[in-house]
Amino acid sequence: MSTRNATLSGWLLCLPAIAIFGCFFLGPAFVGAYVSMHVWNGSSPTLAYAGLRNYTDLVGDGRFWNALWVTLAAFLAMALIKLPLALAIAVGLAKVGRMARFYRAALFLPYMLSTTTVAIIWIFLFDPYQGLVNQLLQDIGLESLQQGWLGQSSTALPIIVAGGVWWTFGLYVVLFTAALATMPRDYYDAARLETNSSFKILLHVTLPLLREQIFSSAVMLIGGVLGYMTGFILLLTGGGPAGHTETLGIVSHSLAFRALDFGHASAVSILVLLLVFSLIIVPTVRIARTRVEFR
Amino acid sequence: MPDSSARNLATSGPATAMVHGLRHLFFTVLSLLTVGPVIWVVLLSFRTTREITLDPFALPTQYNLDNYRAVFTQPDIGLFLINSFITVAAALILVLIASTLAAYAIARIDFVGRQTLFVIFLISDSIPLIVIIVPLFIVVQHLGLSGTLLALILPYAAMNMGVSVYILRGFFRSINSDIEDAARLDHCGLLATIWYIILPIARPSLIVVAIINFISYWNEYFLATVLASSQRFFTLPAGLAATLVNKHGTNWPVMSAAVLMSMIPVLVLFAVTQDKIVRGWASAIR
Repeated sequence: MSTRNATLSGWLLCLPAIAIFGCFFLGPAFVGAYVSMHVWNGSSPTLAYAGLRNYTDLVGDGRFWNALWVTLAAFLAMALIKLPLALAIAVGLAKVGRMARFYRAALFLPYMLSTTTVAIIWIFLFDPYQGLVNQLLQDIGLESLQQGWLGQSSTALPIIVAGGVWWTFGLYVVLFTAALATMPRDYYDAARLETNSSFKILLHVTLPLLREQIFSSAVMLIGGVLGYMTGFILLLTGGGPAGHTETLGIVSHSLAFRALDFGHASAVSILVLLLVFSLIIVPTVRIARTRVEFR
Repeated sequence: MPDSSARNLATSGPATAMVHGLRHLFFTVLSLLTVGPVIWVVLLSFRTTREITLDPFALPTQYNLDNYRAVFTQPDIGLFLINSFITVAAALILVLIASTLAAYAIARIDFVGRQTLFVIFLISDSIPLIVIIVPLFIVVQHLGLSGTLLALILPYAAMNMGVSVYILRGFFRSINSDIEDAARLDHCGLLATIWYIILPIARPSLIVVAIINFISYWNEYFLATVLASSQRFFTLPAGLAATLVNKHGTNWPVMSAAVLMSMIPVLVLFAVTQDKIVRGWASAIR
Protein backbone atom coordinates (compact mmCIF):
# COMPACT_ATOMS: atom_id res chain seq x y z
CA MET A 1 0.00 0.00 0.00
CA SER A 2 1.34 3.44 -0.81
CA THR A 3 1.72 5.88 2.07
CA ARG A 4 -1.08 8.12 0.79
CA ASN A 5 -3.34 5.20 0.29
CA ALA A 6 -2.54 3.84 3.74
CA THR A 7 -3.15 7.20 5.38
CA LEU A 8 -6.49 7.55 3.64
CA SER A 9 -7.74 4.09 4.55
CA GLY A 10 -6.33 4.38 8.07
CA TRP A 11 -8.23 7.55 8.79
CA LEU A 12 -11.35 6.30 7.04
CA LEU A 13 -11.44 3.21 9.25
CA CYS A 14 -10.99 5.39 12.34
CA LEU A 15 -13.67 7.83 11.25
CA PRO A 16 -16.68 6.28 13.04
CA ALA A 17 -14.75 5.99 16.29
CA ILE A 18 -13.39 9.54 16.01
CA ALA A 19 -16.84 10.92 15.22
CA ILE A 20 -18.57 9.28 18.19
CA PHE A 21 -15.67 9.86 20.56
CA GLY A 22 -15.09 13.43 19.41
CA CYS A 23 -18.73 14.49 19.62
CA PHE A 24 -19.61 12.78 22.87
CA PHE A 25 -16.43 12.65 24.90
CA LEU A 26 -13.55 14.83 23.82
CA GLY A 27 -15.63 17.62 22.29
CA PRO A 28 -17.70 18.15 25.45
CA ALA A 29 -14.47 18.68 27.42
CA PHE A 30 -13.78 21.70 25.18
CA VAL A 31 -17.38 22.88 25.35
CA GLY A 32 -16.98 22.74 29.13
CA ALA A 33 -13.92 24.98 28.98
CA TYR A 34 -15.91 27.48 26.89
CA VAL A 35 -19.00 27.46 29.11
CA SER A 36 -16.81 27.79 32.22
CA MET A 37 -15.93 31.32 31.10
CA HIS A 38 -19.54 32.40 30.79
CA VAL A 39 -22.61 33.00 32.88
CA TRP A 40 -25.32 30.68 31.66
CA ASN A 41 -28.47 29.05 33.01
CA GLY A 42 -28.38 26.20 30.52
CA SER A 43 -31.37 27.23 28.43
CA SER A 44 -31.13 30.92 27.53
CA PRO A 45 -29.96 31.44 23.92
CA THR A 46 -27.14 33.79 24.90
CA LEU A 47 -24.14 33.25 27.10
CA ALA A 48 -22.69 36.25 28.92
CA TYR A 49 -18.90 36.34 28.85
CA ALA A 50 -17.43 36.35 32.34
CA GLY A 51 -13.73 35.73 31.78
CA LEU A 52 -12.20 33.91 34.70
CA ARG A 53 -14.74 35.18 37.19
CA ASN A 54 -16.34 31.75 37.69
CA TYR A 55 -12.94 30.42 38.67
CA THR A 56 -12.10 33.23 41.07
CA ASP A 57 -15.58 32.81 42.61
CA LEU A 58 -14.83 29.14 43.26
CA VAL A 59 -11.41 29.83 44.75
CA GLY A 60 -13.07 32.23 47.20
CA ASP A 61 -15.89 29.80 48.00
CA GLY A 62 -15.72 27.61 51.09
CA ARG A 63 -18.04 25.06 49.46
CA PHE A 64 -15.49 24.39 46.71
CA TRP A 65 -12.62 23.91 49.17
CA ASN A 66 -14.72 21.64 51.36
CA ALA A 67 -15.57 19.53 48.31
CA LEU A 68 -11.93 19.39 47.28
CA TRP A 69 -10.91 18.08 50.72
CA VAL A 70 -13.77 15.59 50.81
CA THR A 71 -12.76 14.34 47.35
CA LEU A 72 -9.10 14.00 48.30
CA ALA A 73 -9.99 12.36 51.62
CA ALA A 74 -12.25 9.84 49.89
CA PHE A 75 -9.58 9.15 47.28
CA LEU A 76 -6.80 8.70 49.84
CA ALA A 77 -8.90 6.53 52.13
CA MET A 78 -9.99 4.31 49.23
CA ALA A 79 -6.44 4.06 47.90
CA LEU A 80 -4.94 3.25 51.30
CA ILE A 81 -7.53 0.57 52.03
CA LYS A 82 -8.13 -0.90 48.60
CA LEU A 83 -4.65 -1.18 47.14
CA PRO A 84 -2.86 -2.96 50.04
CA LEU A 85 -5.93 -5.17 50.59
CA ALA A 86 -6.18 -6.09 46.91
CA LEU A 87 -2.44 -6.75 46.67
CA ALA A 88 -2.45 -8.94 49.78
CA ILE A 89 -5.42 -10.87 48.44
CA ALA A 90 -3.81 -11.31 45.02
CA VAL A 91 -0.59 -12.61 46.60
CA GLY A 92 -2.63 -14.92 48.86
CA LEU A 93 -4.88 -16.15 46.05
CA ALA A 94 -1.80 -17.36 44.18
CA LYS A 95 -1.20 -19.78 47.06
CA VAL A 96 -4.61 -21.32 47.72
CA GLY A 97 -4.67 -23.66 44.73
CA ARG A 98 -7.93 -24.89 43.25
CA MET A 99 -10.16 -22.80 45.51
CA ALA A 100 -8.68 -19.60 44.04
CA ARG A 101 -11.22 -19.55 41.23
CA PHE A 102 -14.11 -19.78 43.66
CA TYR A 103 -12.77 -17.07 45.98
CA ARG A 104 -12.00 -14.80 43.07
CA ALA A 105 -15.58 -15.11 41.79
CA ALA A 106 -16.93 -14.32 45.26
CA LEU A 107 -14.68 -11.28 45.69
CA PHE A 108 -15.47 -9.99 42.19
CA LEU A 109 -19.26 -10.35 42.60
CA PRO A 110 -19.95 -6.86 44.05
CA TYR A 111 -18.24 -5.31 41.04
CA MET A 112 -20.99 -6.81 38.87
CA LEU A 113 -23.69 -4.86 40.73
CA SER A 114 -25.12 -1.55 39.56
CA THR A 115 -24.90 1.73 41.47
CA THR A 116 -28.57 1.39 42.35
CA THR A 117 -28.16 -2.12 43.73
CA VAL A 118 -25.12 -1.26 45.84
CA ALA A 119 -26.83 1.88 47.14
CA ILE A 120 -29.90 -0.14 48.10
CA ILE A 121 -27.75 -2.74 49.87
CA TRP A 122 -25.98 0.05 51.76
CA ILE A 123 -29.32 1.56 52.77
CA PHE A 124 -30.43 -1.88 54.01
CA LEU A 125 -27.24 -2.18 56.05
CA PHE A 126 -27.05 1.30 57.53
CA ASP A 127 -30.65 2.43 57.83
CA PRO A 128 -30.98 3.81 61.39
CA TYR A 129 -34.27 1.99 62.15
CA GLN A 130 -34.35 -1.39 60.45
CA GLY A 131 -30.77 -1.48 59.11
CA LEU A 132 -28.89 -4.73 59.53
CA VAL A 133 -25.98 -3.14 61.40
CA ASN A 134 -28.07 -1.42 64.05
CA GLN A 135 -30.25 -4.53 64.47
CA LEU A 136 -27.15 -6.63 64.91
CA LEU A 137 -25.80 -4.25 67.53
CA GLN A 138 -29.09 -4.51 69.40
CA ASP A 139 -29.12 -8.31 69.23
CA ILE A 140 -25.66 -8.56 70.77
CA GLY A 141 -26.47 -5.99 73.44
CA LEU A 142 -24.46 -3.06 72.13
CA GLU A 143 -27.37 -0.62 71.76
CA SER A 144 -25.05 2.19 72.82
CA LEU A 145 -23.21 1.86 69.51
CA GLN A 146 -26.37 2.22 67.41
CA GLN A 147 -26.34 5.40 65.37
CA GLY A 148 -27.64 7.11 62.25
CA TRP A 149 -24.68 6.04 60.16
CA LEU A 150 -25.41 8.00 57.01
CA GLY A 151 -27.01 10.98 58.71
CA GLN A 152 -24.25 12.10 61.04
CA SER A 153 -21.14 13.95 60.02
CA SER A 154 -18.59 11.70 61.73
CA THR A 155 -19.68 8.45 60.06
CA ALA A 156 -21.25 9.42 56.70
CA LEU A 157 -18.05 9.66 54.66
CA PRO A 158 -16.44 6.53 56.18
CA ILE A 159 -19.61 4.54 55.37
CA ILE A 160 -19.57 5.86 51.78
CA VAL A 161 -15.88 4.96 51.44
CA ALA A 162 -16.58 1.50 52.86
CA GLY A 163 -19.26 1.11 50.19
CA GLY A 164 -16.82 2.08 47.47
CA VAL A 165 -14.26 -0.39 48.78
CA TRP A 166 -16.77 -3.24 49.07
CA TRP A 167 -18.12 -2.53 45.59
CA THR A 168 -14.91 -2.40 43.56
CA PHE A 169 -11.92 -3.91 45.35
CA GLY A 170 -12.44 -7.17 43.42
CA LEU A 171 -11.42 -5.37 40.25
CA TYR A 172 -8.07 -4.45 41.79
CA VAL A 173 -7.57 -8.03 42.96
CA VAL A 174 -8.02 -9.15 39.35
CA LEU A 175 -5.63 -6.47 38.14
CA PHE A 176 -2.88 -7.45 40.58
CA THR A 177 -3.47 -11.17 40.02
CA ALA A 178 -2.94 -10.70 36.28
CA ALA A 179 0.19 -8.62 36.90
CA LEU A 180 1.66 -11.16 39.33
CA ALA A 181 1.09 -13.97 36.82
CA THR A 182 3.29 -12.27 34.21
CA MET A 183 6.21 -11.63 36.55
CA PRO A 184 9.49 -13.26 35.59
CA ARG A 185 10.26 -16.23 37.87
CA ASP A 186 14.02 -15.57 37.74
CA TYR A 187 13.63 -12.42 39.84
CA TYR A 188 12.13 -14.46 42.64
CA ASP A 189 14.69 -17.24 42.34
CA ALA A 190 17.45 -14.64 42.54
CA ALA A 191 15.81 -12.96 45.52
CA ARG A 192 15.42 -16.30 47.34
CA LEU A 193 19.21 -16.70 47.24
CA GLU A 194 19.53 -13.44 49.13
CA THR A 195 16.81 -13.69 51.71
CA ASN A 196 14.24 -16.02 53.21
CA SER A 197 11.90 -13.26 54.24
CA SER A 198 8.76 -13.18 52.10
CA PHE A 199 8.13 -9.68 53.34
CA LYS A 200 11.48 -8.42 52.07
CA ILE A 201 10.85 -10.03 48.69
CA LEU A 202 7.46 -8.36 48.56
CA LEU A 203 9.02 -5.02 49.43
CA HIS A 204 12.06 -5.13 47.17
CA VAL A 205 10.94 -7.28 44.24
CA THR A 206 7.16 -7.48 43.89
CA LEU A 207 6.25 -3.90 44.73
CA PRO A 208 8.80 -2.27 42.39
CA LEU A 209 7.69 -4.58 39.58
CA LEU A 210 4.08 -3.66 40.27
CA ARG A 211 4.47 0.08 40.34
CA GLU A 212 2.88 0.56 36.92
CA GLN A 213 -0.19 -1.38 38.06
CA ILE A 214 -0.27 0.53 41.33
CA PHE A 215 -0.12 3.75 39.40
CA SER A 216 -2.87 2.84 36.94
CA SER A 217 -4.99 1.66 39.87
CA ALA A 218 -4.57 5.06 41.47
CA VAL A 219 -5.67 6.72 38.22
CA MET A 220 -8.73 4.45 38.07
CA LEU A 221 -9.48 5.31 41.68
CA ILE A 222 -9.52 9.04 40.98
CA GLY A 223 -11.74 8.37 37.99
CA GLY A 224 -14.00 6.28 40.19
CA VAL A 225 -14.28 8.78 43.03
CA LEU A 226 -15.29 11.42 40.48
CA GLY A 227 -17.29 9.01 38.32
CA TYR A 228 -19.45 6.16 39.60
CA MET A 229 -19.05 7.26 43.23
CA THR A 230 -20.89 10.47 42.37
CA GLY A 231 -24.05 8.52 41.56
CA PHE A 232 -23.59 6.39 44.68
CA ILE A 233 -23.26 9.43 46.95
CA LEU A 234 -26.23 11.12 45.27
CA LEU A 235 -28.40 8.12 46.12
CA LEU A 236 -27.15 7.67 49.69
CA THR A 237 -26.66 11.14 51.14
CA GLY A 238 -26.88 13.65 48.29
CA GLY A 239 -23.71 15.23 49.72
CA GLY A 240 -25.06 15.67 53.24
CA PRO A 241 -25.06 15.92 56.17
CA ALA A 242 -23.98 19.56 55.87
CA GLY A 243 -21.60 18.89 52.99
CA HIS A 244 -19.64 16.16 54.75
CA THR A 245 -19.91 13.81 51.78
CA GLU A 246 -20.01 16.51 49.11
CA THR A 247 -17.31 15.67 46.55
CA LEU A 248 -16.41 17.90 43.60
CA GLY A 249 -18.67 15.68 41.50
CA ILE A 250 -21.66 16.38 43.71
CA VAL A 251 -20.94 20.13 43.68
CA SER A 252 -20.69 20.23 39.89
CA HIS A 253 -23.87 18.15 39.53
CA SER A 254 -25.87 20.27 41.96
CA LEU A 255 -24.62 23.58 40.52
CA ALA A 256 -25.66 22.52 37.01
CA PHE A 257 -28.84 20.56 37.54
CA ARG A 258 -30.26 22.08 40.72
CA ALA A 259 -29.00 25.68 40.70
CA LEU A 260 -28.94 25.86 36.85
CA ASP A 261 -25.59 27.63 37.11
CA PHE A 262 -23.77 26.00 34.20
CA GLY A 263 -20.87 28.45 34.26
CA HIS A 264 -19.72 27.59 37.76
CA ALA A 265 -20.54 23.90 37.26
CA SER A 266 -18.31 23.79 34.17
CA ALA A 267 -15.55 25.65 36.00
CA VAL A 268 -15.62 22.93 38.68
CA SER A 269 -15.34 20.28 35.95
CA ILE A 270 -12.36 21.99 34.36
CA LEU A 271 -10.64 22.35 37.74
CA VAL A 272 -11.22 18.63 38.30
CA LEU A 273 -9.60 17.92 34.94
CA LEU A 274 -6.58 20.06 35.86
CA LEU A 275 -6.38 18.40 39.27
CA VAL A 276 -6.44 14.90 37.79
CA PHE A 277 -3.88 15.71 35.13
CA SER A 278 -1.58 17.43 37.61
CA LEU A 279 -1.75 14.33 39.81
CA ILE A 280 -1.03 11.83 37.05
CA ILE A 281 1.31 13.69 34.70
CA VAL A 282 4.56 13.23 36.66
CA PRO A 283 4.21 9.47 37.22
CA THR A 284 3.04 8.99 33.61
CA VAL A 285 6.12 10.67 32.21
CA ARG A 286 8.34 8.77 34.62
CA ILE A 287 6.91 5.39 33.67
CA ALA A 288 7.09 6.27 29.97
CA ARG A 289 10.76 7.18 30.40
CA THR A 290 11.76 4.01 32.27
CA ARG A 291 10.02 1.99 29.58
CA VAL A 292 12.22 3.60 26.96
CA GLU A 293 15.34 2.90 29.03
CA PHE A 294 14.76 -0.70 29.99
CA ARG A 295 12.67 -2.29 27.27
CA MET B 1 20.97 -31.29 51.53
CA PRO B 2 18.43 -34.12 51.63
CA ASP B 3 18.87 -34.06 55.41
CA SER B 4 18.09 -30.42 55.84
CA SER B 5 15.09 -30.50 53.53
CA ALA B 6 13.71 -33.48 55.41
CA ARG B 7 14.19 -31.63 58.67
CA ASN B 8 12.51 -28.58 57.20
CA LEU B 9 9.52 -30.63 56.26
CA ALA B 10 9.38 -32.23 59.67
CA THR B 11 9.49 -28.97 61.59
CA SER B 12 7.47 -26.76 59.27
CA GLY B 13 4.78 -29.32 58.46
CA PRO B 14 2.21 -28.39 61.11
CA ALA B 15 3.10 -24.71 60.80
CA THR B 16 2.56 -24.76 57.04
CA ALA B 17 -0.71 -26.57 57.48
CA MET B 18 -1.80 -23.93 59.93
CA VAL B 19 -0.80 -21.10 57.59
CA HIS B 20 -2.71 -22.93 54.88
CA GLY B 21 -5.76 -23.25 57.10
CA LEU B 22 -5.61 -19.60 58.17
CA ARG B 23 -5.40 -18.55 54.55
CA HIS B 24 -8.57 -20.46 53.69
CA LEU B 25 -10.28 -19.06 56.76
CA PHE B 26 -9.32 -15.53 55.68
CA PHE B 27 -10.68 -16.02 52.18
CA THR B 28 -13.85 -17.68 53.43
CA VAL B 29 -14.59 -14.76 55.75
CA LEU B 30 -13.83 -12.30 52.97
CA SER B 31 -16.08 -14.17 50.54
CA LEU B 32 -18.88 -14.11 53.11
CA LEU B 33 -18.47 -10.35 53.41
CA THR B 34 -18.89 -9.87 49.65
CA VAL B 35 -21.52 -12.53 48.92
CA GLY B 36 -23.36 -12.29 52.25
CA PRO B 37 -25.17 -9.00 51.66
CA VAL B 38 -26.32 -10.19 48.22
CA ILE B 39 -27.71 -13.42 49.70
CA TRP B 40 -29.41 -11.39 52.42
CA VAL B 41 -31.13 -9.34 49.69
CA VAL B 42 -32.28 -12.60 48.07
CA LEU B 43 -33.80 -13.68 51.41
CA LEU B 44 -35.41 -10.27 51.95
CA SER B 45 -37.09 -10.52 48.55
CA PHE B 46 -39.18 -13.50 49.76
CA ARG B 47 -40.36 -11.97 53.02
CA THR B 48 -42.97 -9.40 54.00
CA THR B 49 -42.36 -5.95 55.44
CA ARG B 50 -44.00 -7.07 58.69
CA GLU B 51 -41.73 -10.07 59.07
CA ILE B 52 -38.68 -7.89 58.52
CA THR B 53 -39.66 -5.41 61.20
CA LEU B 54 -40.08 -8.27 63.66
CA ASP B 55 -36.77 -9.94 62.87
CA PRO B 56 -34.56 -8.84 59.99
CA PHE B 57 -32.37 -11.95 60.10
CA ALA B 58 -34.93 -14.76 60.11
CA LEU B 59 -35.24 -16.98 57.08
CA PRO B 60 -38.32 -16.50 54.93
CA THR B 61 -41.24 -18.53 56.25
CA GLN B 62 -42.43 -19.26 52.73
CA TYR B 63 -40.92 -18.79 49.32
CA ASN B 64 -43.69 -17.01 47.45
CA LEU B 65 -43.22 -14.66 44.56
CA ASP B 66 -45.58 -11.90 45.72
CA ASN B 67 -42.81 -9.31 45.92
CA TYR B 68 -41.67 -10.17 42.42
CA ARG B 69 -45.21 -9.79 41.14
CA ALA B 70 -45.46 -6.47 42.98
CA VAL B 71 -42.46 -5.18 41.04
CA PHE B 72 -44.40 -5.51 37.81
CA THR B 73 -47.32 -3.54 39.20
CA GLN B 74 -44.99 -0.57 39.63
CA PRO B 75 -45.69 1.98 36.91
CA ASP B 76 -43.18 2.18 34.07
CA ILE B 77 -41.10 -0.88 35.01
CA GLY B 78 -41.76 -2.43 31.60
CA LEU B 79 -40.79 0.84 29.94
CA PHE B 80 -37.48 1.01 31.85
CA LEU B 81 -36.75 -2.55 30.82
CA ILE B 82 -37.39 -1.82 27.14
CA ASN B 83 -35.30 1.37 27.34
CA SER B 84 -32.46 -0.60 28.88
CA PHE B 85 -32.56 -3.27 26.18
CA ILE B 86 -32.63 -0.78 23.30
CA THR B 87 -29.96 1.50 24.78
CA VAL B 88 -27.57 -1.30 25.67
CA ALA B 89 -28.00 -3.13 22.35
CA ALA B 90 -27.57 -0.01 20.21
CA ALA B 91 -24.57 1.28 22.17
CA LEU B 92 -22.97 -2.17 22.00
CA ILE B 93 -23.38 -2.43 18.23
CA LEU B 94 -21.99 1.07 17.73
CA VAL B 95 -18.98 0.65 20.00
CA LEU B 96 -18.12 -2.78 18.60
CA ILE B 97 -18.19 -1.69 14.95
CA ALA B 98 -16.39 1.61 15.48
CA SER B 99 -13.73 0.29 17.85
CA THR B 100 -13.02 -2.78 15.70
CA LEU B 101 -12.38 -0.65 12.61
CA ALA B 102 -10.28 1.88 14.51
CA ALA B 103 -8.30 -0.71 16.45
CA TYR B 104 -7.57 -2.62 13.25
CA ALA B 105 -6.34 0.53 11.50
CA ILE B 106 -4.18 1.57 14.46
CA ALA B 107 -2.72 -1.92 14.86
CA ARG B 108 -2.16 -2.91 11.25
CA ILE B 109 -2.02 0.11 8.95
CA ASP B 110 1.01 2.36 9.07
CA PHE B 111 -0.67 5.71 8.57
CA VAL B 112 0.32 9.24 9.49
CA GLY B 113 -1.10 10.18 12.88
CA ARG B 114 -1.89 6.69 14.17
CA GLN B 115 0.30 7.09 17.28
CA THR B 116 -1.22 10.45 18.14
CA LEU B 117 -4.69 9.06 17.66
CA PHE B 118 -3.98 6.11 19.93
CA VAL B 119 -2.48 8.32 22.63
CA ILE B 120 -5.58 10.54 22.52
CA PHE B 121 -7.82 7.50 23.03
CA LEU B 122 -5.59 6.39 25.90
CA ILE B 123 -5.32 9.68 27.76
CA SER B 124 -9.03 10.42 27.47
CA ASP B 125 -9.64 7.24 29.36
CA SER B 126 -8.35 8.82 32.54
CA ILE B 127 -10.72 11.79 32.24
CA PRO B 128 -13.28 11.36 35.03
CA LEU B 129 -16.93 11.25 34.00
CA ILE B 130 -17.77 14.33 36.04
CA VAL B 131 -15.55 16.47 33.79
CA ILE B 132 -17.66 15.81 30.74
CA ILE B 133 -21.11 15.22 32.18
CA VAL B 134 -22.22 18.87 32.36
CA PRO B 135 -20.98 19.79 28.85
CA LEU B 136 -22.26 16.44 27.56
CA PHE B 137 -25.71 17.39 28.76
CA ILE B 138 -25.38 20.69 26.86
CA VAL B 139 -24.12 18.98 23.67
CA VAL B 140 -26.91 16.40 23.75
CA GLN B 141 -29.52 19.16 24.12
CA HIS B 142 -28.07 21.26 21.33
CA LEU B 143 -27.92 18.35 18.90
CA GLY B 144 -31.64 17.90 19.57
CA LEU B 145 -31.13 14.43 20.98
CA SER B 146 -32.84 14.95 24.32
CA GLY B 147 -36.21 13.29 24.18
CA THR B 148 -34.75 10.26 22.39
CA LEU B 149 -32.76 7.30 23.60
CA LEU B 150 -29.88 8.51 21.40
CA ALA B 151 -29.15 10.99 24.20
CA LEU B 152 -27.84 7.99 26.11
CA ILE B 153 -26.79 5.60 23.33
CA LEU B 154 -24.17 7.85 21.73
CA PRO B 155 -22.49 8.94 25.01
CA TYR B 156 -22.40 5.29 26.09
CA ALA B 157 -20.68 4.31 22.85
CA ALA B 158 -18.20 7.18 23.32
CA MET B 159 -17.62 6.43 27.00
CA ASN B 160 -16.15 2.96 26.35
CA MET B 161 -14.54 3.67 22.99
CA GLY B 162 -11.04 4.17 24.41
CA VAL B 163 -10.99 0.91 26.39
CA SER B 164 -12.44 -1.08 23.52
CA VAL B 165 -9.94 0.28 21.01
CA TYR B 166 -7.15 -0.46 23.49
CA ILE B 167 -8.11 -4.11 24.06
CA LEU B 168 -8.80 -4.87 20.39
CA ARG B 169 -5.62 -3.16 19.19
CA GLY B 170 -3.62 -5.39 21.52
CA PHE B 171 -5.31 -8.41 20.01
CA PHE B 172 -4.90 -7.34 16.37
CA ARG B 173 -1.21 -6.73 16.96
CA SER B 174 -0.77 -10.26 18.24
CA ILE B 175 -2.08 -12.05 15.15
CA ASN B 176 0.16 -13.06 12.28
CA SER B 177 0.06 -10.79 9.23
CA ASP B 178 0.74 -13.52 6.65
CA ILE B 179 -2.92 -14.27 6.24
CA GLU B 180 -3.71 -10.64 5.42
CA ASP B 181 -0.84 -10.49 2.94
CA ALA B 182 -2.30 -13.56 1.24
CA ALA B 183 -5.69 -11.90 1.14
CA ARG B 184 -4.18 -8.79 -0.38
CA LEU B 185 -2.50 -10.83 -3.12
CA ASP B 186 -5.93 -12.22 -3.90
CA HIS B 187 -7.12 -8.62 -4.41
CA CYS B 188 -9.31 -8.81 -1.38
CA GLY B 189 -10.33 -5.27 -0.35
CA LEU B 190 -9.60 -3.88 3.09
CA LEU B 191 -13.16 -4.12 4.42
CA ALA B 192 -13.55 -7.59 2.93
CA THR B 193 -10.28 -8.65 4.59
CA ILE B 194 -11.53 -7.39 7.94
CA TRP B 195 -14.94 -9.00 7.53
CA TYR B 196 -13.97 -12.40 6.13
CA ILE B 197 -10.51 -12.94 7.58
CA ILE B 198 -9.89 -10.85 10.69
CA LEU B 199 -13.28 -10.98 12.38
CA PRO B 200 -13.51 -14.77 12.55
CA ILE B 201 -10.08 -14.92 14.21
CA ALA B 202 -10.89 -11.98 16.47
CA ARG B 203 -14.17 -13.44 17.72
CA PRO B 204 -12.93 -14.42 21.22
CA SER B 205 -11.62 -10.91 21.96
CA LEU B 206 -14.69 -9.30 20.43
CA ILE B 207 -16.82 -11.39 22.78
CA VAL B 208 -14.73 -10.26 25.77
CA VAL B 209 -15.09 -6.61 24.73
CA ALA B 210 -18.82 -7.12 24.20
CA ILE B 211 -19.29 -8.67 27.66
CA ILE B 212 -17.35 -5.94 29.45
CA ASN B 213 -19.25 -3.21 27.65
CA PHE B 214 -22.60 -4.94 28.19
CA ILE B 215 -22.08 -5.06 31.95
CA SER B 216 -20.89 -1.48 32.11
CA TYR B 217 -23.89 -0.23 30.07
CA TRP B 218 -26.48 -2.37 31.81
CA ASN B 219 -25.37 -1.10 35.23
CA GLU B 220 -24.73 2.54 34.34
CA TYR B 221 -26.67 4.91 36.58
CA PHE B 222 -25.16 8.40 36.69
CA LEU B 223 -25.26 9.36 32.99
CA ALA B 224 -28.67 7.73 32.66
CA THR B 225 -30.24 9.98 35.30
CA VAL B 226 -28.57 13.15 34.06
CA LEU B 227 -28.99 12.76 30.29
CA ALA B 228 -32.55 11.39 30.15
CA SER B 229 -34.85 14.34 29.57
CA SER B 230 -37.67 12.73 31.55
CA GLN B 231 -38.51 9.57 33.41
CA ARG B 232 -39.89 8.14 30.15
CA PHE B 233 -36.29 7.67 28.95
CA PHE B 234 -34.89 6.11 32.12
CA THR B 235 -33.08 2.79 31.93
CA LEU B 236 -33.54 0.19 34.69
CA PRO B 237 -30.88 1.47 37.15
CA ALA B 238 -32.14 5.04 36.85
CA GLY B 239 -35.79 4.01 36.86
CA LEU B 240 -35.51 1.71 39.85
CA ALA B 241 -33.62 4.35 41.80
CA ALA B 242 -36.23 6.99 40.97
CA THR B 243 -39.31 4.88 41.67
CA LEU B 244 -38.14 2.61 44.48
CA VAL B 245 -35.44 4.34 46.49
CA ASN B 246 -37.38 7.55 46.84
CA LYS B 247 -41.07 6.65 46.78
CA HIS B 248 -41.16 3.22 48.35
CA GLY B 249 -38.11 3.66 50.52
CA THR B 250 -39.54 1.43 53.21
CA ASN B 251 -40.81 -1.49 51.16
CA TRP B 252 -37.60 -3.47 51.32
CA PRO B 253 -38.96 -6.79 50.02
CA VAL B 254 -40.17 -5.20 46.80
CA MET B 255 -36.95 -3.18 46.46
CA SER B 256 -34.98 -6.40 46.88
CA ALA B 257 -37.01 -8.26 44.31
CA ALA B 258 -36.67 -5.39 41.84
CA VAL B 259 -32.89 -4.98 42.06
CA LEU B 260 -32.40 -8.75 41.93
CA MET B 261 -34.44 -9.02 38.76
CA SER B 262 -32.52 -6.14 37.23
CA MET B 263 -29.29 -8.04 37.95
CA ILE B 264 -30.33 -11.29 36.27
CA PRO B 265 -28.66 -10.71 32.86
CA VAL B 266 -25.37 -9.64 34.44
CA LEU B 267 -25.32 -12.40 37.04
CA VAL B 268 -26.07 -15.08 34.44
CA LEU B 269 -23.37 -13.68 32.18
CA PHE B 270 -20.94 -13.58 35.10
CA ALA B 271 -21.70 -17.15 36.14
CA VAL B 272 -21.27 -18.47 32.61
CA THR B 273 -18.25 -16.46 31.48
CA GLN B 274 -16.43 -15.63 34.71
CA ASP B 275 -12.95 -16.35 33.35
CA LYS B 276 -13.54 -14.32 30.19
CA ILE B 277 -14.79 -11.35 32.18
CA VAL B 278 -11.91 -11.48 34.62
CA ARG B 279 -9.35 -11.81 31.84
CA GLY B 280 -11.05 -9.04 29.90
CA TRP B 281 -10.92 -6.64 32.83
CA ALA B 282 -7.30 -7.52 33.46
CA SER B 283 -6.43 -6.69 29.85
CA ALA B 284 -8.51 -3.52 29.91
CA ILE B 285 -6.22 -1.98 32.49
CA ARG B 286 -2.84 -0.61 31.66
